[in-house]
Amino acid sequence: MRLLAVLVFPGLFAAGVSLQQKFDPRDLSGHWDRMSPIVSFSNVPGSGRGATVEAPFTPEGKKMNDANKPGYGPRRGTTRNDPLGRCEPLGLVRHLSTEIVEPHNTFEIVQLPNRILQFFEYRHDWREIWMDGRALPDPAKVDPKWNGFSVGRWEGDALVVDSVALDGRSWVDKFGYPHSEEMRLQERYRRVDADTLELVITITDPVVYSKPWSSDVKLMKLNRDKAKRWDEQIYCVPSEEFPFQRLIQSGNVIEP
Amino acid sequence: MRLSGKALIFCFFLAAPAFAHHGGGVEYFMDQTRGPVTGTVTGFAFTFPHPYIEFEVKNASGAIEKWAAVFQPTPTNLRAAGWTRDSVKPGDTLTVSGPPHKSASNVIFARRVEINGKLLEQGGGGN
Repeated sequence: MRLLAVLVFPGLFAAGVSLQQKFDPRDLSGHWDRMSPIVSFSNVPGSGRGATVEAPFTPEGKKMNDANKPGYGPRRGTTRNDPLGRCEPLGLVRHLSTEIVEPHNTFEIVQLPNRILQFFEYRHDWREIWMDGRALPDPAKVDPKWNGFSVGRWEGDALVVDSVALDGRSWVDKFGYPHSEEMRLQERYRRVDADTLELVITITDPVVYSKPWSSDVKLMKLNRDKAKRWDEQIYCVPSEEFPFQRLIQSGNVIEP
Repeated sequence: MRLSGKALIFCFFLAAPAFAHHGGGVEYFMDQTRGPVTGTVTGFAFTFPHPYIEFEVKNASGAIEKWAAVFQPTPTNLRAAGWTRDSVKPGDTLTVSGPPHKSASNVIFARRVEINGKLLEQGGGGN
């Protein structure tokens, strides 16, 4: 059949081959742009921006969720306590499900022999994923960190990353979903073609969620142009952020 | 152009979260336009998340009122449209129109901006 196609449509076939770029599925390096609509941890696939899958809260988790006052999503209001508005670190899970739109919707992956580094453009933050076979630390024996402790491994062509000991002050996403410091996070990355990366995140947190809660499939597109330009270094600067929030009366709790 | 009800609802969900972090969907009456308001620039904060211009306006009784015009695009977006931190300087004449803030009477969403009589395009984007 392919032979027939070559004979009958040689130009078309050649074009198809050239469009299908070769890639190494275990090479995730590059600048990856989150593709809309990545607005929340678990969007309803195909729903557009603003709709999320209902979270399987425990009673304690529901209470924690009610205490978070987001500026986005179905619960958004003028009175907020979003850590984002206080220039606090976003934390790993929120970096991954971040709300930032183009052109600040990028993370870069750098693969080293024994580590993977992931740089988040918005808030100029980064995390490390150890790939040398080491075990995760016992969460009871380490202090929690904003981006936790992460180890990765390859399962076929999927990069599976497990993380523990993430600081409980961060939100899962901008809609205000909480997590506790007992959360275990698993990310599964898969490069499905030369330009597309898939990510599914699963939260296992018995304090907040009655069962493991998975995100929808997040899609990223390789941005070769961004690899050539200077980094924007987007910090949250309190001396800029707080006067701005006072100016527009955002209603956020901006000072500790 | 006519938009169907479903299309309008879709547009709302598309637009609202992009405005919600620091303004717009919550802080501004996005379906209204105020201005044009003209005043003298006193400052230009070309900073994340959203640049803003501070300016003074002489009101009907001759008193000076302090105003601010807030952009939706980030500095990156504005730079792509040709802006720099020197695009607006103290002493410039600003004429601005856009949605009014819901509670801060002298804050305006900078939809259309003229500096010294020249329209400055903003490009798109912002969060």
